[in-house]
Amino acid sequence: MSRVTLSLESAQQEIQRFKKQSAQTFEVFEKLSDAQIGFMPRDALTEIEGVTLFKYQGRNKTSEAIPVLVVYALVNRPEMVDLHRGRSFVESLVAKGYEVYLIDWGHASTDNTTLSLEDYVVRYLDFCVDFLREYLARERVSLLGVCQGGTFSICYASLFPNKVESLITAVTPVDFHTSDDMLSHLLRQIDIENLAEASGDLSGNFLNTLFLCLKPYRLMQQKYIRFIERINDSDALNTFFSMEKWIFDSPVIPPRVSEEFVENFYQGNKLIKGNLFIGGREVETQNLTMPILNVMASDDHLVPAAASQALAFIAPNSAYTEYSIPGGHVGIFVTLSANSILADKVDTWLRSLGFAK
Amino acid sequence: MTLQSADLKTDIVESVCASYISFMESITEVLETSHDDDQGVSIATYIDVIREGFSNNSIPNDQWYAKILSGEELSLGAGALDQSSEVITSGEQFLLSTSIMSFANVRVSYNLLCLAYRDLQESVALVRAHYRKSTMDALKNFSNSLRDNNEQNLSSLRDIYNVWIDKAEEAYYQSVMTLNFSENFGDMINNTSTMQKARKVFEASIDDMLSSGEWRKLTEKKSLTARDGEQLRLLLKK
Repeated sequence: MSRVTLSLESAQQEIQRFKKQSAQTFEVFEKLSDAQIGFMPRDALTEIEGVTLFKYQGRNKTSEAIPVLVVYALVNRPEMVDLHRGRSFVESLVAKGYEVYLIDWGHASTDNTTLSLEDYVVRYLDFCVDFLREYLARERVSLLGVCQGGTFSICYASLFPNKVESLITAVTPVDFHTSDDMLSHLLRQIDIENLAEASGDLSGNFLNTLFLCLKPYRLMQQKYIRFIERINDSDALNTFFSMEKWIFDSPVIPPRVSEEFVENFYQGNKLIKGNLFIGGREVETQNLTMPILNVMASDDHLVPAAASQALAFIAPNSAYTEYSIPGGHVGIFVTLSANSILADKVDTWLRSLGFAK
Repeated sequence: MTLQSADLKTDIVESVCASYISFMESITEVLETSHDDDQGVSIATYIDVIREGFSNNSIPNDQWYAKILSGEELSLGAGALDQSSEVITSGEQFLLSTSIMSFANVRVSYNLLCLAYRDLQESVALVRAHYRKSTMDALKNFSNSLRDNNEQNLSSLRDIYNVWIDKAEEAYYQSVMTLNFSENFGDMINNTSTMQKARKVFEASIDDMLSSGEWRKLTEKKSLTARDGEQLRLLLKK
């Protein structure tokens, strides 16, 4: 018997159905009301050179709420962790009684050739941590780093272990030279300094194109077909539209920061090989003595599991826990079930440490 | 952050629609002449014919099986080539038509731009060769999968399409995750950077030339030359 069992009539009906759906797509675009990304209300507590520390307004605020500082990546906007109602990791955490803070790195200028990794990982992040320590009257703060923000958090916690109570990393690359890391593979032979000099910055179109290069058929074709097939599902439409906006909204990354990050991590793999210096200070991961929770996405094409799991080996002095959540790199934050699971895991872990009451 | 409906990449959606419809219509055409018990084999045979045709031609941009990997989005270098080809041609014409022996730096910077352009052309060709092989492998694996009656039954065009996506993605992964690809891709990006920098140097040399007193003297006598110079400057600034 043939693997394909499809009547001609069904096939023709399928084509007509898709044509009708695709015709509706552009009508929907016309009528679509402007949607918001970034759902939870928040207040700006302080800022430094365009970098803002936000505090999300809590609904079940108690005097014993545990503060968590979310450290996002420089690539793409941090609103991904707070897409909209029901698809907000921040919402899930706040609902569990946590005080959630977030560093918004802002919008750097393409003319800024002086900002370096030290400015972000040490100066800005340390400023925000110190502010929170004073604001909360606490000696130490829990960090929750996302992707590159997780890498930053690892470096920061290694440099300032006395200021970090616990470290949570989500979809965070640590070993950039695992055999299945396509992004690293593509970046390996690129003269990043030459590229930064030629382009002015390494954000925007170049990075988005590189990400699309990882799964071109799924990300540049199949994804859009799925969207058209769900044209009558307003929730799916909203989410898709929000995600597209977020994906193509890439902030400028100062060229020197990109150069240093690519050279030290993607090309040099210095968290594993050692000899990593930020601002003249050596990042020694044996200083990671605080408890660590490392969360991975099971279907992560940007940060393969092995790239993240290496954290266990570079932090031998930490009480280390890892967990894998079904979903993709972004999916574990924005899909209805996954972001709840993620918030549950964070909550369960923090409670097990006795931090949450 | 507020969304605007125009933020969605409607041009991409339109292109994907056309490509998917083309896929579905192609497969349906095969079904029109196949028997119920050999639909899989018939479609696989059609895929084999495509593959054979593809092996003899350069990548056709508008075919559903080649569109993704031939798009400018993936050939980062090809986009840069397209942007500079008119500059190369116009620059050559300008330099031939004007006597600018005293502006040696303009000619030097133009020659360096041409060298960079040529290097980029070569590296784009190498990356495209990888994409071509990937597409060939994808078509082959797709055909083999359709012939394999032990695999999951496919009862819609969408099911068949999903198999194509799986096979295409696998073949692409296998092709890209080689040292050779990494080197060629790196060369393409590096040569793009070099060419962009060479273009900026050429642009600066043209700016200097057109602003110089010596140029003004020359163009007082030849007004056509002045216009050509301005046109080239405008082209470089695009």
